[in-house]
Amino acid sequence: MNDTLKSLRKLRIAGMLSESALQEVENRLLQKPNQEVLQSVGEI
Amino acid sequence: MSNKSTNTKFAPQETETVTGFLTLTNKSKISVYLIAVAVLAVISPFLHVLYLIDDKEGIFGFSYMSSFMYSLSLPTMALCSGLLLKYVGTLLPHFNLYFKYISYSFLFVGIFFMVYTFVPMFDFSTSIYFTGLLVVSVILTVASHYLHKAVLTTEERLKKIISKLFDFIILETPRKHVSEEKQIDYVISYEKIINEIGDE
Repeated sequence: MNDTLKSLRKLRIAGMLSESALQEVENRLLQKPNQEVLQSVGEI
Repeated sequence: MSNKSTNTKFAPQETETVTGFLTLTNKSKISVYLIAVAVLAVISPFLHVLYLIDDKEGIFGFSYMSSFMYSLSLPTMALCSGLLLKYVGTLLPHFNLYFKYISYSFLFVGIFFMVYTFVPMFDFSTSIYFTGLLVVSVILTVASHYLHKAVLTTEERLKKIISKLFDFIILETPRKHVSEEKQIDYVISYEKIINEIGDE
């Protein structure tokens, strides 16, 4: 699992992170690889 | 022209007590008081040892001085502990109420057995002992309840605050306060912080 996701889950379990904030970062992390692909395609 | 200063403003002065040899500030007076109370609390249970080798006739109805000193030691310790706890309570404003209850119960126990020591005419009846025990139990129960609640609510409050700050960092800031071209840099920055927190 991604380090950021691990940290986020820890924070969520400890009650220091809301569900919506967790979802937001998870979505961003899922979108990230696609963005990287698009960027590299754009550079080509 | 007079050399006398016309400046009427003074810096706030520390209250001082001038004694024959020392100039004591309030802080040092408190330190002396605390040390004296702590020393008395620690030494009192051992004071009866002074009379063990050469015991003398006791006072306040006690047959021996050693038994009188021994009887006096524990209430003295309880009283001193109560006073120390009372002082600690004044330093911790959030826990002041709980330390107040705890110190009162220590003081109560100290006074209870001090009365027992200095009133030699009669021994306390069983009902008085049980009433005293009940009062102490009630005070300690109330104090521990509040203390427990305070610890839990403090932790919960801190978690809520951290959660709200994360909401602001993750949800609100990128949408309202960060321009589109800086969004990726911003996300990378807070991911770094999240990872650092996760490693703690």
